[in-house]
Amino acid sequence: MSAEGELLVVLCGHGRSLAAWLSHQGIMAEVVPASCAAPDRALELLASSSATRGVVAVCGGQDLSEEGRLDLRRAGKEPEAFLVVDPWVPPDGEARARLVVWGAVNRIAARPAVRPSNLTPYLPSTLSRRALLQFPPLAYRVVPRVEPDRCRAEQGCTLCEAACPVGAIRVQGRRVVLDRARCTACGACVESCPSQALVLPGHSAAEVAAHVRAVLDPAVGPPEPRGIVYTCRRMQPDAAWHPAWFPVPVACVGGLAVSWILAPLALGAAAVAVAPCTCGGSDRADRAADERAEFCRRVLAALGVAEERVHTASLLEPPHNDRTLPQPGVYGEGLFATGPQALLAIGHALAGPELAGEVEHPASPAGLVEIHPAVCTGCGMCAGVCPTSALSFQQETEAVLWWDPARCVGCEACIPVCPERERGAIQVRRTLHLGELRKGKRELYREPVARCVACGEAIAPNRMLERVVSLLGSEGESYRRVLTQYCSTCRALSGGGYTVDGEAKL
Amino acid sequence: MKTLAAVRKAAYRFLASVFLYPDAPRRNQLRRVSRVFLAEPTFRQFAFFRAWVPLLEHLSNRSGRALEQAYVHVFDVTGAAGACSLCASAYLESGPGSLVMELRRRFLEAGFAPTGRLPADHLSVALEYLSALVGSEGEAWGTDGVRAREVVRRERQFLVGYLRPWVCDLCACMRRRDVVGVYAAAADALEEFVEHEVALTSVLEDPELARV
Repeated sequence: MSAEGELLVVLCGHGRSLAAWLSHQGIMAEVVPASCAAPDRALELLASSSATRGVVAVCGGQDLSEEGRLDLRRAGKEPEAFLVVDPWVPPDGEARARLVVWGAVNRIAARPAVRPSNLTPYLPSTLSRRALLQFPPLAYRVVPRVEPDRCRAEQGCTLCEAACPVGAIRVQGRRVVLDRARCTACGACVESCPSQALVLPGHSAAEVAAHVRAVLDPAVGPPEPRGIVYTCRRMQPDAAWHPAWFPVPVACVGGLAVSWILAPLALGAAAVAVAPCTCGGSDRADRAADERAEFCRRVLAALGVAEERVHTASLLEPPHNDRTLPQPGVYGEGLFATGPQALLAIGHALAGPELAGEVEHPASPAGLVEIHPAVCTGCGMCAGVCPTSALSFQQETEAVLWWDPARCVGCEACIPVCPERERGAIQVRRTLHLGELRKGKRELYREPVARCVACGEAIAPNRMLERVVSLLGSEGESYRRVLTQYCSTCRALSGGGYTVDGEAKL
Repeated sequence: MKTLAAVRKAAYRFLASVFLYPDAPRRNQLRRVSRVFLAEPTFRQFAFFRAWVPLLEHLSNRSGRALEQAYVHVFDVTGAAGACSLCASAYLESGPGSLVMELRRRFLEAGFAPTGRLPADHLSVALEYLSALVGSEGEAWGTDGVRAREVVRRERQFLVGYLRPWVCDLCACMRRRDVVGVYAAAADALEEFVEHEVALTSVLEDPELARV
């Protein structure tokens, strides 16, 4: 567990034995009996403690009130560093409650630090007179921040801008600019970024991975199969849900990454579900979540794993029970990363090393690039704009274009810059091709480069020169020799290669 | 809201001073104000305060000579290569002439008359202008919410349309150029405060935008 700042768990009166168990695990835990159904009553202890982060585990616990959050901030604490959970919903005894708290503890320990650039002010809608009389009358909520060192906007990447459903994030002057007040912190931009340059505490791969691993820890909790259900951050678990479902909140299920849906299966979850969006007026989020769930089911089918592992039935029913799943905890990091690489690791975990099959679907986080070798002229423009460096280009004696399926996110940034796109030189499909992923980086195109007969410098790939000559029509034929045998420098030095009367000088 | 405006006005004026040459009277003033900001619990409740702490600590403790040397090195007024310009015209594509004329027009409309010999596109002039706007905003909150929101709208337009586009380039230069740390810290403080103000003015102008 991270050593950054002390972590404290505060429990209501029902959590005495849980507190003892947590202390045995080396986690600071205190019981505040009066905090049953009233998480704010735990605040006095939190505010006066040395803890900088923690969990408030109270029966009937919902999120901290506006006033509670203000009080924490006044005490010098960051409210987003504290998680409120109700371990006893749905009710299923001490063992399940222990798992819920353990998941929350691991989650908050792995949460990225909230920096000033993650916070945006708002005017609280409900405050007591006491709070109104205090200053300042501002509350803060968390939004994504940009890590400039990882951001590829300068290279032309605009994936986050395309992903944002409310137009809050824009690429201006090769820099990502976030309208914090407009941002709804849904996490869609985080999921779309292939470089993990956007950090949203509460919706990060690290904390979701830590939460899921903790909930699936076989050493903690009952031995029965467990399911993971992703919920929007403000959704309270339904007491009617089957107790085998363990909620893992994210910013919004509309921003859920495909790998987050599949990774728990590789870690031993019986099934994964996605609860409906509760962020308010968000058909888009539900559609996005449904599409991703459908894509995941098709991936499972391609891997030969039961599709019911991505549960779309009612949460009143238990998760699918398949005892052939691998032992949890075996697989390393990277399962929860966005992008195709994580899917390769997940595929290996679920189906072994011999991956095959492909799934073409709009929700695929992977792309498949196809080059028409007779049309492509080897200019390399596609590689120059690829935001993930999935396409790379090298030109020495030959022009060679490489493609790495583990990096390709199918963004299609390579298509508009291709001078031969109208002739179908390059195509991109939103396809997860398991066989290609397994094979790794491969060559898409190779063409010898013509060299100057005068100085030996490279001119251009042969196919490009032929294309230029053909575009020039009948005039091109007369220029053919000069264009294909002399570099631009030698042509320039000789005054273009031709006399005023059209007689060749070279 | 009036108190909030008063705090913001003070913050703008403080930042405006940070980017002026730190002669002895100014250094003493910056040291005094930094210590007040550090000691006052009210300021800690603003999200941008954490980004201000390193700057405030530098200004509270650093010797005069070290601060002057740092200023000269980062903003070398002799125009040494790599030094950072504090003027917008060094970063924006619009010509300096048209930029300065447009700024003077805005200042005139707001009844703002910068004193001193700084060019109209100097960072400190912009920050003082915003301080003046926030001051009139604060006065308006007491009597006329509509007028107050109109002033907030002008603040936001100035922040988003003029100041923010070049402040990030200036801050990047300061971080590259500074070896002592004070002006790198000033860059963090400035950038975070500007972003906070952009978001806050959105909320003040249209509270429904960010009610949660």
